[in-house]
Amino acid sequence: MFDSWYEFKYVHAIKSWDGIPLKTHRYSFKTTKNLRFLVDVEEYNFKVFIVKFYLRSHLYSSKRFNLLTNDFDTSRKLRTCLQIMLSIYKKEPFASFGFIGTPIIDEERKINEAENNTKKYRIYSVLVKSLFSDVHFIHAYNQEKSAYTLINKDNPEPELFTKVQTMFAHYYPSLG
Amino acid sequence: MAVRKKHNKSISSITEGYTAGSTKPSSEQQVKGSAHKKAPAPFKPFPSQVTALERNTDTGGFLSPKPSGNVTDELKLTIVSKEELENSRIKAYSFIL
Repeated sequence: MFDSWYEFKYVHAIKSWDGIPLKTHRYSFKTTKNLRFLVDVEEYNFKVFIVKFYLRSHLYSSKRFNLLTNDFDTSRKLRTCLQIMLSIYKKEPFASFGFIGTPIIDEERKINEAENNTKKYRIYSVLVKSLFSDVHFIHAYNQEKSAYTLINKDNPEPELFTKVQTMFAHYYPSLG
Repeated sequence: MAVRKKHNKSISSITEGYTAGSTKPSSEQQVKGSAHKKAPAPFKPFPSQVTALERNTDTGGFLSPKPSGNVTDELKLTIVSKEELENSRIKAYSFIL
């Protein structure tokens, strides 16, 4: 488990009109079940990258991060996302990363998860703790919002943790 | 240069609602026509515009800006201690970084 991954390709980068995020880097990969997934890596100030992935056919859905594909291929897909993170880290040695475990919405099975400590967050956080050491990154989380960040220790930016935390508060959508 | 206007309406669509021997449209046709003028169809954005609109309502991440950047207790990030990291990780996996 989590040892193999799919080949991925860089699709393009989109600059935001309002600068939030600065850019969105889009990657793509195809699974053995012929499903195409898109990985959107949003770049923010201080080299913070937020990783998101979803099925390409859900691209125009507002619930694209909440829907399940039920293809029983989670480990390989997650490892592909981690490999994308590693490829970014190779290019940007001061990169910090983050993700949010969005609540699952499944109308057929009548699942409507709460925002805190979601299933996705629990899986992603254990995986990140198991595969990323604390040598290069500070691991920090917010269980209430199911958010997890890996803050780069090598980044020379003073008080980076505080700045990332403030940025998190500033941009997180459903607050205030 | 004058461009000749094409008439796309078919004969059947023009004559629809007319009864034989009359030159006026039926009452049903008149109602439909007036209703259409009063309440035009709602604007449907193109897919590319939908994504732009959805950006602010998305629940997937750091998207819509918030006026104040104050860090409340609810928003604070908790640093994972070395012990916690060791205890909660799956030890069968080796670090990739």
